Amino acid sequence: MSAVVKARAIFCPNCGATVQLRGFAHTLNATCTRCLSVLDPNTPSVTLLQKVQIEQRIEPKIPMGSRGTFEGVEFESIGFQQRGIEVDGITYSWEEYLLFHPYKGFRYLSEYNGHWNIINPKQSVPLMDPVGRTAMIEGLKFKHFQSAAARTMYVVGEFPWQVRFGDVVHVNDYIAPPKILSSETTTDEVNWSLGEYIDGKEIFKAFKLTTPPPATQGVYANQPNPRAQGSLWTVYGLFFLLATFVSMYSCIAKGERQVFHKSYQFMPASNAEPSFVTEKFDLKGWRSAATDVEIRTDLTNNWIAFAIALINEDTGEAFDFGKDLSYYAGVDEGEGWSEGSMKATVTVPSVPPGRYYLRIEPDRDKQDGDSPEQFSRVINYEIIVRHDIPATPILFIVLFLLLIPPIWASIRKWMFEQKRWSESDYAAASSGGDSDSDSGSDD
Amino acid sequence: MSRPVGNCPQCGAKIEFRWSGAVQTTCEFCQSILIRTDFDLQKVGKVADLPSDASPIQINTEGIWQNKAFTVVGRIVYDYAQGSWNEWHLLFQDGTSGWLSDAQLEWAISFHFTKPANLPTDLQLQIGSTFTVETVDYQVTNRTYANYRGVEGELPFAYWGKEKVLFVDFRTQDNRFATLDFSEEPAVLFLGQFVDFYDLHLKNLRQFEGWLS
Repeated sequence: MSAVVKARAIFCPNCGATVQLRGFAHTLNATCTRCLSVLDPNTPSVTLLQKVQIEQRIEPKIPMGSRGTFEGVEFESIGFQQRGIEVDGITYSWEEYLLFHPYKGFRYLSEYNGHWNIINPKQSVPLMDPVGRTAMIEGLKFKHFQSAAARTMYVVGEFPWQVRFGDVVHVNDYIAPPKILSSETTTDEVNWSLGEYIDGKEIFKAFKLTTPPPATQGVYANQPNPRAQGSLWTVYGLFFLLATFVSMYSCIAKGERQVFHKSYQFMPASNAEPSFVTEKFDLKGWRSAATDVEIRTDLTNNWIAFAIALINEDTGEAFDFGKDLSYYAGVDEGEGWSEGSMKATVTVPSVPPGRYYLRIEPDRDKQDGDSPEQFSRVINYEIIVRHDIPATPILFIVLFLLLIPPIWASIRKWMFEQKRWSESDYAAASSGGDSDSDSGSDD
Repeated sequence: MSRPVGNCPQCGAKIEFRWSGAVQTTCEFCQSILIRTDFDLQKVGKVADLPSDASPIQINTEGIWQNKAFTVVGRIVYDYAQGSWNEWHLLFQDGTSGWLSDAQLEWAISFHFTKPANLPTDLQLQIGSTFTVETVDYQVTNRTYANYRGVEGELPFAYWGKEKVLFVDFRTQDNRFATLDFSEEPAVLFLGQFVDFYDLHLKNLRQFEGWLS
């Protein structure tokens, strides 16, 4: 009872060739390696099921009987089919390999223009949207890509189901790169399978094939978009945030840029010319910016008026402004009071960068109520100039230049998706596919 | 635990039922199909040689499913247009009976669902149509006309004819499985789920030339 199940061989009733069987009694149909007749190996005398006339033999890239390990399980390639669909009179064909393990079961490999998928039969059915444009399985949402009648054009090896040259099944493909969900429907059966895009090199390595795998051509339905990571935008976003913080900080930090500070005395009773010019100072930067001139005095129950000009040494351009200051304070019925201010700041909104000086003319006329003591009192004051140094444009130039890689990558990604969907039922010609061009590959 | 015991009316060999619910068994020695009419065994036929098959399971294979140990005690082989499949009869350690189906190495464990269910008729069940049992939506994925090709070991029902009957298979979005067997009226419902072969921790498997289990 526990004898080892032996592999066996049959003789082709058509040409007499020996056909080695690899799938044990799972093999319902096998093809003769010499004449390609489809045989039923399970009848005592081996029944010839289909005789074929093939103009050109196809040599499977993975030889029948070779073994390769996938997902930790060693499978043997026992069957090969070429299947095709016809679109506008042109046949597009792909190749499928049936992989077998006597305990683990069957898997498939498919190849089209150098693009490979490893495919697992699926025991669950997906959740479809009412119009059949999306299918959900294992929490993954797939978009409908193509619907076609697939015809078996060529068969070699063994299959656990009935297979004939010319068989037709209805195929629907749904994609969520790198995965592809497919259904094959006949009147009595619907079979779902889940494929995953795999580099041909990995397959050839798994089967220890020394030849290089065929080069890929074009973009395949579920080929992962090499530009889909979106990491460039993340990097850009981080840099943008950093730049925003830097410029915000420099905004807050303005006014700390003190460029001039000096103390003066004014004697109202003196007959000397009150106006004078200050030392020169630089207002740096690459564009016009606000300049603050602060006047601090030691006024007490007194007043003073200033006429000030901020003058550009090179161009002679002058910004004139005036400021009156008065400060009175005292004690009334035990409560302190004050009025006015000892200091003031004047902001000149837009001063071009350059070398500047101030012309200052303090003034305090004698008033009618002034006592001689009040009028002759010396007024001390300080002049402070602060200049807002604006953020350099370098930052903006860098931000702009940094936009180029993510925009370029996005264009490339978009072009890749265009190529992908141009092969689908939703190609641009029907214009219905536009909404699909940004497929969910990066979700 | 006493087991029903009898003698083969054909060859006299001792027939011991491992499962008290078994109605049918086959004599290991003479391949007679025997039906229990309590403790008297009646021969109803002889096992046609079972087709060569490649299921890794055999009578006495042991496994574990949902922490319950089981032993394979019987089997039905069905034939249909696209080949054949096996329904292995499982005897669980708690005395319940279940089925392990092996259809081209796709594995499912199921149990006879005996609660009343509003069963659909054959004609209501086309590919893609659904049927709800205990809030689960089961979707028709296969309609198969099959006849039984052979039996082996202990089974919970008696031998029946060779005519083709309809089996409708259902799948769900969460790996569950159902079969409606129209060999009886009303149809018999089995509910279960697909399983991974290695998750069953099977022992006493068949060996295949050139492969390790």
